[in-house]
Amino acid sequence: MNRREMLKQLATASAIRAAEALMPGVIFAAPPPNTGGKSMEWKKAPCRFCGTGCGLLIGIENGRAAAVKGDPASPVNKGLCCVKGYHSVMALYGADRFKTAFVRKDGKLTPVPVKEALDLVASQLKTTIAKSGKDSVAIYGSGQWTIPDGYVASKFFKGCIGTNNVEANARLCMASAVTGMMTTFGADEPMGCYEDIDHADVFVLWGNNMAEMHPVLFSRILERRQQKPDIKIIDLTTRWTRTSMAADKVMLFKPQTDLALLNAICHEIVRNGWVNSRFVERHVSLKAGKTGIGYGLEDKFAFTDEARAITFDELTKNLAGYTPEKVEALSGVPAKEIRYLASIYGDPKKKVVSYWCMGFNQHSRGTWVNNLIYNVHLLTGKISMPGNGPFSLTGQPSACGTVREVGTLTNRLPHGEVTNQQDREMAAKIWKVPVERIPAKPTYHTVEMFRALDRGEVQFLWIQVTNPMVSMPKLKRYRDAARKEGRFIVVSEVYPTPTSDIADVILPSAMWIEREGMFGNSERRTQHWDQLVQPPGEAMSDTWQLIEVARRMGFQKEFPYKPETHIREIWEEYRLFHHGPAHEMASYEELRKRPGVIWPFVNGKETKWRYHGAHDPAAQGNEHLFYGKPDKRAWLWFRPYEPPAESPDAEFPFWLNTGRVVEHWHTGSLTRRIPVLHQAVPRAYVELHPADAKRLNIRNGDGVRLTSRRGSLVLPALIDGRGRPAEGQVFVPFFDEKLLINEVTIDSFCPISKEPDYKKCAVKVERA
Amino acid sequence: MDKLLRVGIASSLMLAVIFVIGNNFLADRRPATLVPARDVETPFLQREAGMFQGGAPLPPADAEASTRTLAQFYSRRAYPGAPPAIPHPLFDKRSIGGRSCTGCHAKGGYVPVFKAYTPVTPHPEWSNCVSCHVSAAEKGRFVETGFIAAKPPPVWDPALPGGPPAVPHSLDNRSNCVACHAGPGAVKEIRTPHPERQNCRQCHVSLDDEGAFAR
Amino acid sequence: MPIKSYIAYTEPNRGPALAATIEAIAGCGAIAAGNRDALIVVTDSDSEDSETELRAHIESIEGLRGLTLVSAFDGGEEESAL
Repeated sequence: MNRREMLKQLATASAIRAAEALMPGVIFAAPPPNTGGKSMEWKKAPCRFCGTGCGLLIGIENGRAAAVKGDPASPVNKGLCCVKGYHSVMALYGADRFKTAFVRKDGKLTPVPVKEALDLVASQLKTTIAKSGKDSVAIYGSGQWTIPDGYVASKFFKGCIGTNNVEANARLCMASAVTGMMTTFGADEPMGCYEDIDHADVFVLWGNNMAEMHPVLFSRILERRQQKPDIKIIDLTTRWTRTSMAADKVMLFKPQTDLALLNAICHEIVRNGWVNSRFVERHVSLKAGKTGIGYGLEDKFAFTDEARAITFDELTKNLAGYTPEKVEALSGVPAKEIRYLASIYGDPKKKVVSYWCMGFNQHSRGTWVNNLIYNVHLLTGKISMPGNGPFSLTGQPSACGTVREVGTLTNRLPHGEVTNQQDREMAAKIWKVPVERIPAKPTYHTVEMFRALDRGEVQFLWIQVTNPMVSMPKLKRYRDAARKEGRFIVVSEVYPTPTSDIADVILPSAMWIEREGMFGNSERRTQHWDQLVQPPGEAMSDTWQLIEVARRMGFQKEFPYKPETHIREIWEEYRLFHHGPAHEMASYEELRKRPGVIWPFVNGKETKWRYHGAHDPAAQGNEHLFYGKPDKRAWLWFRPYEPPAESPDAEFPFWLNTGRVVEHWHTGSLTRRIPVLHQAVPRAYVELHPADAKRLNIRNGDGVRLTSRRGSLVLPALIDGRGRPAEGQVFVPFFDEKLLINEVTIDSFCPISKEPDYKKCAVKVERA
Repeated sequence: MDKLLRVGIASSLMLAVIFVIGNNFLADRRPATLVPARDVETPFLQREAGMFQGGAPLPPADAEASTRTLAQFYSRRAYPGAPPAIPHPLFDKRSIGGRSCTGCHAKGGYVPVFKAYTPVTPHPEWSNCVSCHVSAAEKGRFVETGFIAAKPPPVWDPALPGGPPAVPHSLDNRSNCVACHAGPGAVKEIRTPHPERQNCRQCHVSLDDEGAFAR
Repeated sequence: MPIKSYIAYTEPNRGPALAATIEAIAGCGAIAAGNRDALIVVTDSDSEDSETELRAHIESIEGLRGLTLVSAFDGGEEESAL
């Protein structure tokens, strides 16, 4: 491309930006002029990475993906991506890509044709089921599974084999958001959409580094603030991040005290008479549940909550323990700042959107803290309206679309729960299987599934599109478990990882645009893409791997799909589960045409805001209706503060927090093979506060030993190189398979959601 | 008349008092809107905050107004990354810098005397300017030098066509992107076509390592 | 060798048709907005004078309500930058 072409592009891009500033919401439907050679074709696909779900245009040249543009026609990102999105296609071409299957023979992984590996997987499934029963086999999938991947997995294991041993890594990222929504609203997924950004006055970010984790959404917020400078961004955080640098106000709080802060805000809202009484009287039921509910550290830990109706007086009495002064002492946030934040929520003229992600979800009281942020919005009636409401951000590209909407969890079906007779009957009818085959009892959530693998109750585990041998908390126990005798591990992967290293069978997977599929993002937008390039060697989509194995086990008539049309057939079958104004999904043709479709999609219209008659055909009139619950109300649960499973003490005096950086996705198996991303952040490190570093005689780059009751790790120190933890805290990113920080973390979890707390445990910090 | 005036003043004073007291009384009931003073100071992490500093102006209608070229940029520096020499006479020869420099170089602007737009400093946090930036007292050499400067990085070198190029320079003292990449004082060849986007490092990453990933 | 870009406003619903008309003119490109009566116009000409003529020609097209300059670059001689 020559300089003139480049300048023409710059000129065009300038004009588009200027037009967007003058006419907010304008979309230029035709793609910008060609970037590559004359033979470059541009095709749409959603991004492979985070839960924002940006629309991309992939440049295909000579059968390879060679360039990326943001899709200007996508309402999500309007032509902008982040560094991972812009370089996403490079993840297809790492030198050590799996092109054939591998089977462990005499302890060594040996290449075999894929057909042979699939035969082995099927026969191993059959023998294990015959020997130890249906619940001795399990599948562990992912929020990066496409919707057809997850649907086929669920149908195969729940409807054909007849076991509820189906889990996905979204248990480790979104489960608390799910149980938060189910307990408060009786239905999953946010009631708002990204268009809230165009209407809100204040953005309150709770415990998430949006500038690095949902960068394109954060850029939309920044753009809005630039157009309307009285818009405020308030960052509530335990550690100063890039987001803090851009925020108008930062409130640093001690880990876990988010529970107390939210109650303090509710306390102030009640005390100052900022409660929207009409809304609460008409649309809210007040509840309390059990307390002192434990941490899930023991095997076979079980917990069932109980809802008890409470009065407003009782709620007020409970909140009396959360005055700003008391919460200041606990959280470190000054009382007047708490009052300030409460006044923002309490001001009926201010439209407020609350965003949160892993800080609230990966939390030993994750369900509670999700309930509590909803309480703030329910007391003030700020919900289900443009720019005014709580919005739970999703981490993975299809945790919503696949894991939550298809229901690839032990207790779920594509519609409803395994425990519900009608839901089982609906599944049996659509899947054309006998209803008795679908088990009525959930079996294991993810942590318990790996514990069952350790105990020997699970003897066959199929892992797809995820890397648990890097991401499981208290990693050593579960890695040792997977390597025990009598455990058969099948891993569908694209690159060698610590998980594929311990596999008995490796199946080479086709990745993302190498096969047709759909993802569903945070704002309920389902996005389709065609197959754009050929997968390498014998690599096969996860969907097709599952179908091949299912057919080998005799389930041909349950999986009759034809290769050329199987995605369409699967989608149209899956869609049947979601009929009705509360969850209707668009047709296959509609998905192919549009830059994604928000569900519910009713009579050709997307439902952007749910639970309000003005926007939601499942509600009525010009009022709210929380139709998920039997009493058609949202449930406000009083939840107290309770400490985490492990807090710093004399022996282990620091908090350990873990997370990500913008450059790397999860366990790094994809992004580290993209040269520019690897070069930007080549290794993990431990962030320390400069005062702690000085006290411990640690300088930037020095080796630091982190030790917990579970393990120990030496990492290089990074001081003020990215974020700055508070004093007495350290932070480590988890993308580095050579620096397995999860050997140090703890496997405590929220007893309701079963999601582990990756943000809090106690460590000793020493110069190595 | 006198009495009327006194009564008038007294009653308006009374009204004022009532108004002030009444307002304060009501203020307790209104939501607080003042931002309270911070007890815990947010640290200023320059590397991370740099890109959010400085308002981003739209590009000038005629880009030819920028008179700073890349050739000129590098000619003032001994090697890419070196602090540029001061090309103009100083206003105050005894100052260490501070206000006498940032008066123009903090925000930029057109300087008719030099017929140029002032370059904006990417590191306004330093105030001892002349400890790094010196002006030439004369043109000659003491002794010839064999020093060969490092080559400047290429302009516009993205990993994929049309993609965002990585930041080819260290972010130390250069974390405020707007200073050189946007506005009339920007260097012509590296002016960004999208200065209104603020989260620069969401797309443009800074490279640390030279090698490739190996397990 | 100026390369310039503009925002053009159009009469209601005339955007795509006008974009096609302008695309057909030598040295011009146009992209219509999907949801507003506006388009982006990019011109690429040999000299300021031909640019002025081109601009006048575009402005005279029926259905166009205004042309606002957004950015301008000097295309210079043909050279490779990659």
